[in-house]
Amino acid sequence: MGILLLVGSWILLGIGTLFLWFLRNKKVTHLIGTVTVFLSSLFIFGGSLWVLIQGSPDEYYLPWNIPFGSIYLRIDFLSALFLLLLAVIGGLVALYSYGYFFEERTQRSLSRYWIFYFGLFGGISLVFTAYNGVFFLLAWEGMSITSFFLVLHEFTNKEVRKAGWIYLMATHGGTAFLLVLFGILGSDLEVWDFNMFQYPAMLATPIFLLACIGFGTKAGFMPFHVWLPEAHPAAPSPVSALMSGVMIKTGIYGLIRVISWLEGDIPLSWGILCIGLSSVTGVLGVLHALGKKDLKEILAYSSIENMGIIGMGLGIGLYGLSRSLGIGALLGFTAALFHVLHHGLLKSSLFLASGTVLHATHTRNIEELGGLWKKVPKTGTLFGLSSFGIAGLPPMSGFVGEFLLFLAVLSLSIQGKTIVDILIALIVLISLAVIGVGSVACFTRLFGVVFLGEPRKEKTVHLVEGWTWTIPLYLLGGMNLVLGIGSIGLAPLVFGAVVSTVPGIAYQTALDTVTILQQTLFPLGVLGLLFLSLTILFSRIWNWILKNRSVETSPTWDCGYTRPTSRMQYTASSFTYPILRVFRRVLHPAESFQWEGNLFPRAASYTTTLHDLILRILYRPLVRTITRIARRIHALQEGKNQVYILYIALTLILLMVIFLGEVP
Amino acid sequence: MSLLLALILSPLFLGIIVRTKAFFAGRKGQPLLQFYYDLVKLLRKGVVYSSSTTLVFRLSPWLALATVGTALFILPLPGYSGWISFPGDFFVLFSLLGVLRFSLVCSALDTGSSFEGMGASREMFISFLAEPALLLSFLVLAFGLEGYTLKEILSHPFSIGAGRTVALYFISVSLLIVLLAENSRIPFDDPNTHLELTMIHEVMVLDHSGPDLAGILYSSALKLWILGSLWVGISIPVRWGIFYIDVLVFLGSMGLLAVIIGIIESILARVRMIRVSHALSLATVLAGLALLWTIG
Repeated sequence: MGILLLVGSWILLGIGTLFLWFLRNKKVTHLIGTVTVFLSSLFIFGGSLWVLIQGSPDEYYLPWNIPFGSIYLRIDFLSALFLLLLAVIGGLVALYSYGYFFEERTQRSLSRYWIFYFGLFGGISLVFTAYNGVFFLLAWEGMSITSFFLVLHEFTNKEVRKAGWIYLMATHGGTAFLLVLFGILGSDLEVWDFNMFQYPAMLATPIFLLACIGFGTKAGFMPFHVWLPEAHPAAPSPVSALMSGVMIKTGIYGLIRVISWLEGDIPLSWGILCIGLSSVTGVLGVLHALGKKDLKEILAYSSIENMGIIGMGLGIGLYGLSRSLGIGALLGFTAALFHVLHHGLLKSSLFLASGTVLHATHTRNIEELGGLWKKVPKTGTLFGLSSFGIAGLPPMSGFVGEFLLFLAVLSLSIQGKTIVDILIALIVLISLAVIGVGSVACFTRLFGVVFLGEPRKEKTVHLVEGWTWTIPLYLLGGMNLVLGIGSIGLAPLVFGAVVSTVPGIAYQTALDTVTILQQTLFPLGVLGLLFLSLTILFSRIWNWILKNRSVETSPTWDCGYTRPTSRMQYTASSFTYPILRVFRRVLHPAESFQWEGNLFPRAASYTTTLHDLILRILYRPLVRTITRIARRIHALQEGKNQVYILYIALTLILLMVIFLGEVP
Repeated sequence: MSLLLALILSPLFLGIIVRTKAFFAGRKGQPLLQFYYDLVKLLRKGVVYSSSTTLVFRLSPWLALATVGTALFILPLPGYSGWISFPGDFFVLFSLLGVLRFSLVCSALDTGSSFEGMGASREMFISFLAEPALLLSFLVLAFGLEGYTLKEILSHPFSIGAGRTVALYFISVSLLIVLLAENSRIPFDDPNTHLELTMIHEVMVLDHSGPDLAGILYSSALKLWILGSLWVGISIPVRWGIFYIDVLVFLGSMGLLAVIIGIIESILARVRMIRVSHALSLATVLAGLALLWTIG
């Protein structure tokens, strides 16, 4: 039944594509696109829920004459969980797209957008269900290519084309590693079915490295993250929402799948590698987010940071498995999966809200924004709520994953007791602390500078917040609040996915972990409710106190200065300058300072720009070296036929000399 | 009990600090109960809102009180269990302080004032450096005492083992630094000055008035009480096992802490913003040393 519903959704998408292909009425195609995705997301939602409620995986097998291939579809708990996320976000993003492109729909046909959206949506759902290597790679490529075309939606812009190019390079680079990965795993097999995969003992670590690079590129682990801050600002906001909310999670899904094929002992180095990689990802991600000024670039770096948190959860899980500290391991994996879901919901709602900002102001530079709350109050409220959540603060959902990760670290250090355990705990904890406060700083900055205060540049905001703009945001924000308080309700699904996927977990360990989850998530929900009711209580008390008092309005107190202007506000750059200053030796923000006039100040300007650290210290030199070598070799390319014939002759002679004795 | 004590006595705590400082300066000082009078006076006033502000600004006192109120449900009397106690509860406690920070910083940015923006920026900067030290200290305690909850950690810190007590001293100093930084005391911030450029916490609430200001001031007094009682629980581990005596010991220790803070504020000058990072790195390094001591 689960598979049936899923296939149903694909058929729906197919029919929708046909309509879009042949219909010429622009308004109707736009409506058809929205409705099709919405309906098919309902199908997927139903299918995955069916599997989760039924409690047993659903599968379908059909032989396929492609080498190593078979049409093997399987929805297990892990797939169902990710499909659920896809259905919710995909459907709501489609709804939002309807409003977002509403004005565009009369100017040009949006059928291209919708067909690629169908492709991406279907591709991701296929990635989560394909259970055969070749099939999976095909789905993976389909997902990558359709998302590439979606990034290129505004292809007339040169920046967008450059970003699309970088994205294509990165995603194909990643896929190349996956091809090798599946090739090694399936080297003795006739079909690359996932349930047949076994680790060759010798090659276990190379396989894990390949998976880390291949899937890590999609997930945005540093140093493979460079495409994220390029592609997200370039893509239309609904596309960024879907990509950041769900597509990058396919990388995490893939990593967990690879882990699930493990048998026997896991080398200690895997967990350490994963934790090292992710803590660097998390910390550098948040530091970059603090220094950037482009609204969507900041959100992209925040995604990288959150992938770091998820990766740390996986790392703790792997490390715990190899140290046979089962409870810590399970808590780590559970934390990772919780954070996958929560980050998906939070980040997609933030990207959608940023789409509204973009639409209303036509700028992504946060230094030019300000005071938007008064113009778009609903979007402002929900952006604030999601910022609050993604900063990892209770009672919103973003906190649950971080809390469980902390618990995993605690249990690892208390039960492990060796020096390495403590050092691991230390690294994760310090990263978690830096990420935690860093993201609070980052999102107070983003929310405060964009929505609060006064506009930094006079802008006419022409946007009426219609229901298609706000309903998806309301739903996502509401889900985050509910899932933050009621995380205990989601725990069985997440924990079920973890236990059914992670290899080598004793029954008793699982039971103990369930007890810990109950002991912690329930009081967490109680505290969340307490917090909400206290807030409401105090607001009532205040209303009562102020009922018969004078409530006045006056300009902001600026210490006696009578003519404050909006340009005197603290800027986004100055807000985080002290923090970045501590890390200036690492990040090297480029500063430029212009000062005219000597004794008497005249026009002066000061700007800081933060360039991506990894881009600067790794990729730029790498590309430079490759270019230099290529330029050397370039000398061979003469362009004259005679010279090429000379090359051929020389090669032949060389070959003859080498193989002189061997040819019979 | 811990909840009631905090609600009733936290303004007195501030009073003791101020009286200690007055004693060192050779002044008579304000009455011990001055903060109660201030709060009552503020509660009876009207409010002025800036025309730049939005709902976020009005939310800030409610959120501040609600977060501190929720945190008080977790906070135990040292040696006893809090009302809500569960594994990892101290992480939730610290995150709630993060909520307080979030709402205050947002309300400061909401006014559009450059001074409040500066205060918000500095508040984030200081907590950015203080948070790792705080979490690290509690990791050491949790690891050394094998406790998952605040109750287990604060009950008998000296059961950490004879060879490891030095770690406790390190953590005690580290936590004291964090306590001063997080609550905007000297040497990180000066709660008395009224020159806006030098202030951090006070400048963030420049535009709050009347009951709103009362709410914010009360919640920061409670925040000081919360972190203070964590410090007392670790640094002055005298437990009799008889509830009322323990309460008295706890209150005495809190009074002692107030005097210590008063003395520190009297003999130290406020450090430059750039040096703040050095002082807070010291806290992190001390916690790290404590960790080494606990392992080794």
